[in-house]
Amino acid sequence: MSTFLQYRSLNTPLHRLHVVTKSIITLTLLALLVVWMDYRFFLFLDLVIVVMYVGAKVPISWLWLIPTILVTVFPLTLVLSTFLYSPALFRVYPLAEISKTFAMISLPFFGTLKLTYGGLLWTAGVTNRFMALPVFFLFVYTTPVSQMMDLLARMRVPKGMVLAVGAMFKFIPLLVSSFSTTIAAQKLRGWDLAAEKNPIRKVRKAMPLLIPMLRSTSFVADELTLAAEIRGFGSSARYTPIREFKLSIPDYLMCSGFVVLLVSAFTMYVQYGTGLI
Amino acid sequence: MTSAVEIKNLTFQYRAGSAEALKDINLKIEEGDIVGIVGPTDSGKSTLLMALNGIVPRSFPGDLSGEVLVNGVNVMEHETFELASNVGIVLQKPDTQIFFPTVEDDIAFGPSNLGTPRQELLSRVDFALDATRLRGYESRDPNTLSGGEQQSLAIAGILAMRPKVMAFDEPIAMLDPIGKRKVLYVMEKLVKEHNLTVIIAESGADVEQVVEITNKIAVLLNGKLVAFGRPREVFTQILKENVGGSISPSVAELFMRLRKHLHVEEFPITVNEASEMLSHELRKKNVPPNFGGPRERTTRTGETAETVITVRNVSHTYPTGLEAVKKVSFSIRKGEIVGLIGQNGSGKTTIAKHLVGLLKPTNRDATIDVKGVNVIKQPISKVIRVINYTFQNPDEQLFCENVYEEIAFGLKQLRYREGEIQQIVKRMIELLGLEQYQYDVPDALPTHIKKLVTIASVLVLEPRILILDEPTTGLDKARIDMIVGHLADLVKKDTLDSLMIITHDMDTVAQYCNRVLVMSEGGMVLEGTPRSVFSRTDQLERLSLSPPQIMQLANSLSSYGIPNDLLTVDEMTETLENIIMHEGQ
Repeated sequence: MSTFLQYRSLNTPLHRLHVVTKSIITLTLLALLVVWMDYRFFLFLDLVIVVMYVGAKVPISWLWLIPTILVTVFPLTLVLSTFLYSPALFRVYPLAEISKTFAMISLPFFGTLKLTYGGLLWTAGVTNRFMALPVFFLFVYTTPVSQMMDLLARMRVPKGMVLAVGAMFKFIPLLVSSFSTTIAAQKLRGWDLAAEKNPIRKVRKAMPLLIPMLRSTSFVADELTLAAEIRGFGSSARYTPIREFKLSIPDYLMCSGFVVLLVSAFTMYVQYGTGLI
Repeated sequence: MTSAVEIKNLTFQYRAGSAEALKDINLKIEEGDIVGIVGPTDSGKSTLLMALNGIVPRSFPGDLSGEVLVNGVNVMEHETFELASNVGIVLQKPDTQIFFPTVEDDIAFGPSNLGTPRQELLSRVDFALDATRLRGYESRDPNTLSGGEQQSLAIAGILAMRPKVMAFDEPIAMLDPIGKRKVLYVMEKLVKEHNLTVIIAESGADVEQVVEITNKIAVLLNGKLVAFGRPREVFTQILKENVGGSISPSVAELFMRLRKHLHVEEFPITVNEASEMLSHELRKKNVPPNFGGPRERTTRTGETAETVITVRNVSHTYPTGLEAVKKVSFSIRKGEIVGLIGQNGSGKTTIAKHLVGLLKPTNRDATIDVKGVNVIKQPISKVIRVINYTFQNPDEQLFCENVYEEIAFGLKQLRYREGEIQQIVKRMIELLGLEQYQYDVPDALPTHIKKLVTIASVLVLEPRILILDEPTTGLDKARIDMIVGHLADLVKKDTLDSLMIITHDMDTVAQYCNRVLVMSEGGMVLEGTPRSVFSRTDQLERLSLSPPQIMQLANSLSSYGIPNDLLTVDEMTETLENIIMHEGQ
């Protein structure tokens, strides 16, 4: 069973990579998602992410939230773009082209808003940053928590923070499992959140979930804290990682490739505005 | 010589508690002892264990007086992590104690925290792997281990910190019978080979297995230590004094009932001891084969009773590819109290969730019919009025401000009128004996009452069939009898058509069920009456199951004419009394 946000031991090429390599890949992808606003660049990046996601066999079900986010965020950002529009945002596309209006919408309180091609490009670039979620899932699914903790410990991150990372990844799957039980138990008492269409009543109707969930959260947190304390958590001694850090040839190749990509992308971004709109 | 554990006048009251959880406890445990701390649910066992490394009162604040010394160290003067190499505690649920994605990493977590140098760390991991028989599992994902193996891993994680005292809080409650045996074997081995001191808290449901390895027993009742000493001496004492009787092994209870006929000073506590003592008596008598064996329990209406559940070809594969249930078919008749048993991960809960529509079969040719309702096609709201289900942990469900509201919730969801709701809830409260709790906050109730409230909260929808998922976990025998006995009565009184109990507790199955379904690796592999199923000992062994203690005793006495299919203390008492009286005539 693969629980949400839980590592799974598989033998895919990405799983086999060292935690340092995976961290470099993740940071490079995240950095490029932030700087590349132009669809010609970010679509290439998206393709790389999709190939890696599928190749690492990360469950597609983990992406259930993405369509909801896109459907909600895209129109809002598009509307927002009409207020934030400024020629200074655009350094690559000709101003005359991107200032053209392709649609007009009327909204209560806001009046008539002009939607421009520039606004559309900006909205696409901003919305695409949600691809950071699959990148995060990719890292979590392919990297054992122990390796993340090893890495953080070697980077001299304070021990409390290292263990907080470990506990977080343990905490979430336990909560997800407990929440699913709560939802099932309440359904068996005739409770049905989906049947309620009124959003205000829907929030009130969520009470049968909220209280047991809060209780579970507190219980799981207590249990984990207790279990960690019993295992010496809190000691002032320096954490001893169990493994030596050794990178393989594919690790060196991948690290070099992504570092080159990152450095070149940033140089071109700074020098020529590559990736901007 | 310093004792491994010395507790002096220990009294503790939780800050939020209304009564003292521990009352003036005085206890001395010597090095190499295996001590069972036995007591009913909520009697203070866990609190006592937590006091051994100062978690009580540090993490669970309250008023504490008295002293706890572990190997001469006063635990109140040290932080919990400083005591980690002195005393280790293994909790009940393995999943909250396992932090890492491989067995090896998880074992290393404790010594890593203590800053143990790498070479020493690796040698400790090796030691723990060998001691818990997890060698070969180093790279395994703990999620792929069986329940017993996961608990062994939790033990290994503590062991790697090299504590001199190990305390276990109901460590086998959630395991199948063979898993229980494996974990107890590991504990016994630790004491024999590594001279550790082991303390095991136990509510009573698994006391028969626990006493097999203990050399001392401490009995806690309402936070007070009422007995401490050799196991046979202690159980004889509490049975004779009629205190905490529900926490004694079945064979001790049997001898208590037969004490007028069998003049023994101390009652036996294991099957071997009981068998030896009884064979001595039976050798003197010439008992005919299968003497006076009780008649088979059948359903009230036998084979002609109405079929209430029909399941055909149900398979379920989870999205991860795990085939949890494979082409399962069975039917249940009116009046049947069915025990659904099988090792951890055998598919019991998955198939039961199909019966109420929480899961749908992943194959097309499956059918599930419950009293004429096609469960696969009908919405849950319709199914739950015919068949319902209660989960193991009430805390994942209860949310209302009082018990009355909690029970009324389902009816409100289904839009019953207020007058009707009052009537039905009142009836339900009376039916389950919850009158004195109806205006109490569910959170503050004892565990067994919370379980009754969750049962009431689904029974109020008036289903004809009820499924209980692990209703006995963490409860002592008296409380199990209170809950399961009550529901079994509802079947007898026709309030329910049938009851299904998913459990690892074979005594409960023997006591209350008239039919048993056995699952293994997603398939239904055995079915029949408890007597017929439990008498197939070889097959049960292969399925990681074992018969109840009384049946094991009956088996060992079969060469003296005792029927080998006796299931309960009542049946064995009746048979043995008949033999003794027969001889007297």
